[in-house]
Amino acid sequence: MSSNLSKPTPRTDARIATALLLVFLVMTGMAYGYPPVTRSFPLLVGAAGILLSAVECVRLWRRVRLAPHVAGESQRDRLVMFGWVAAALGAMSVFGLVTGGALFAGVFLKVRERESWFFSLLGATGVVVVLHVILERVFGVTLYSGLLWAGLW
Amino acid sequence: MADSSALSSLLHLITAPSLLGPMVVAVPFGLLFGAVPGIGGRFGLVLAIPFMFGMDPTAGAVFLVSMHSVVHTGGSLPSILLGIPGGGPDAATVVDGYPMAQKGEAGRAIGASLMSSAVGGVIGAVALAVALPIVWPLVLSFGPSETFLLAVLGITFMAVVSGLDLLKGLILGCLGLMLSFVGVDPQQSVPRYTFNQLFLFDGIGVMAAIPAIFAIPEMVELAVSRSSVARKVIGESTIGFRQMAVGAGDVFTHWWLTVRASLIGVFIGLVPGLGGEVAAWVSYGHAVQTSPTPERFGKGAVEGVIAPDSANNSKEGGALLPTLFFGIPGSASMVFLLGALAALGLQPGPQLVITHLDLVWTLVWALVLANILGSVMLAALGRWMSLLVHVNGGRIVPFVLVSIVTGAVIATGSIGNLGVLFVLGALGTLLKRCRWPRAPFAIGLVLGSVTERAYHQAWALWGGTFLLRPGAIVLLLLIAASLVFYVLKPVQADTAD
Repeated sequence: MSSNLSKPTPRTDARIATALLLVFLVMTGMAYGYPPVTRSFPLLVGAAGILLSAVECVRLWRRVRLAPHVAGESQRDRLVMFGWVAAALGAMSVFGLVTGGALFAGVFLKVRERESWFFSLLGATGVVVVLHVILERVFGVTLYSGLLWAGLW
Repeated sequence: MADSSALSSLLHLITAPSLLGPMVVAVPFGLLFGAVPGIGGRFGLVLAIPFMFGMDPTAGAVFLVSMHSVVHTGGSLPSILLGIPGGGPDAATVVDGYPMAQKGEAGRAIGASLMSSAVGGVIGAVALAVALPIVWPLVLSFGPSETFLLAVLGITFMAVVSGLDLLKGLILGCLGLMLSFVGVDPQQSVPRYTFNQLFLFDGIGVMAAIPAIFAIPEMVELAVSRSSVARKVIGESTIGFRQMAVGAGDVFTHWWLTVRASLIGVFIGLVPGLGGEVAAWVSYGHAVQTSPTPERFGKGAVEGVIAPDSANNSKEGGALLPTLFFGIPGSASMVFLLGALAALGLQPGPQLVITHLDLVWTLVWALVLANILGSVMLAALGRWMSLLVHVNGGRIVPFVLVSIVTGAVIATGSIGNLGVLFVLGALGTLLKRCRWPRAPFAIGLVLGSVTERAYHQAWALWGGTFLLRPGAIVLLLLIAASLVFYVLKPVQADTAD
């Protein structure tokens, strides 16, 4: 599954390295505000991170300058799919793990996978059975019931 | 002490329904996750995590190890019947397993695969058991300086073996460590990087972060590929019990190859980060090289099934050793296991072996029994389980996503960690897309708190000279050696992810 990805552009690679350099800079800068013992290890790791990512940035941006400009492959499919991930997180935080999970599974199967109504409803029911019946009823795990439920009551 | 602990652990495992039950339930799930291309061991662990909560830690650990140890046994089914590997490590089985199925010898290939998986798994567990008394004094000699450097070694090892770029691995290892500092500082109870968000006071949940960085990107790719994993059908009549018995007998006819391939698997499993693909292919190559008739390979030679399947299962025993004893995951799947064990309240590493030796022995026995049970179950259910390989990848995605979110919320006890899932899921997707190695990040995150505590203890005891202690010097030399290995090695493909 992991081996069939096409090669990303060097620019994307360099942007990631730059973003990580910024993360290290911000986190190391924030560490200075903590007491000496609390900050000592974050400073050590942060310094290493800054050094390594700075070297990587120089290396990768130099490669970008030397490489001919290559148009990146469209990421639309991945962005749309990541939207579905966000939808799962949103649905389960608003409607709770059971209702949100079932809703997400049903809609995903029907809309994205274009499954039949029967199969989509079966998928949603499967989620309810596993989460509500097995986890909540049998195992006695209390599952998060959602922001909507908390707001209503 | 070790002998009595080993025996009492075995007795406890087979007589206590609270341990035997989870193992018997875990094995068919492991086979199922292995048999459906696209799920595999890592997602199996993710899917199992919501069910771990409220479980006794030992029972939970037995469940996870039993389930994970038989994933490759199940993975041989689609490899042989359809030429589609259940997961990366099963790919080597396709080379000869699928031609055997095409020749009408699917049953023989499956029989050979099941028996070699069982024998390989048992040899892997025996190797782990034999290593225990040898490694024991080493574990006891570990102080804070060694623990600190062990974590550094783990990150370096993973960075070295996980892909084309050492710097990227080291950067992500540092990022994992940095994110492990989020929460209340255990030394002085000062909140760090919490931004006044209450859920961050407990730190970033490992069971939110690891699935986010590994499983969400895989689900995105699986959905985007829109792959229907299996369209070919092999006649059921070719999977007869008589043929399976012939295949099982082949393993004993080629017993020396089985033992050698299993030992290769154990050794490769021991080296953190090398992963299952390497074990299977090296064993396959060894079988070809040592065969008097190498021209038969690739056309349906039974030795071509026996060697990779023995190694695939035996390497799990080998990979458990660095994972349990030193807290360094032996493979990417072991990163998940490490996180899941941490979620159960078990922190793998020298302390686990010292304080929970009985648990280690229980896991060794669980590995032995699960491998035997897995092969017996698959022999009985193989005909029906072969239907599972026709599942479309996209149909799996919503259920894995729901499971990831549920596991993260239950494990961390906070809905705020959904934000962590989202941010790290996006980061993981980007890193996977750009082939940045993600395993060092996970090790940094999981081992961060232990590393920081060890650093402070070592500094308090010996000051800056803690790096000059004998054990520390050995570990520093190993770190240097792994870096030299990276410089000298030929360019290799991404293996740890």
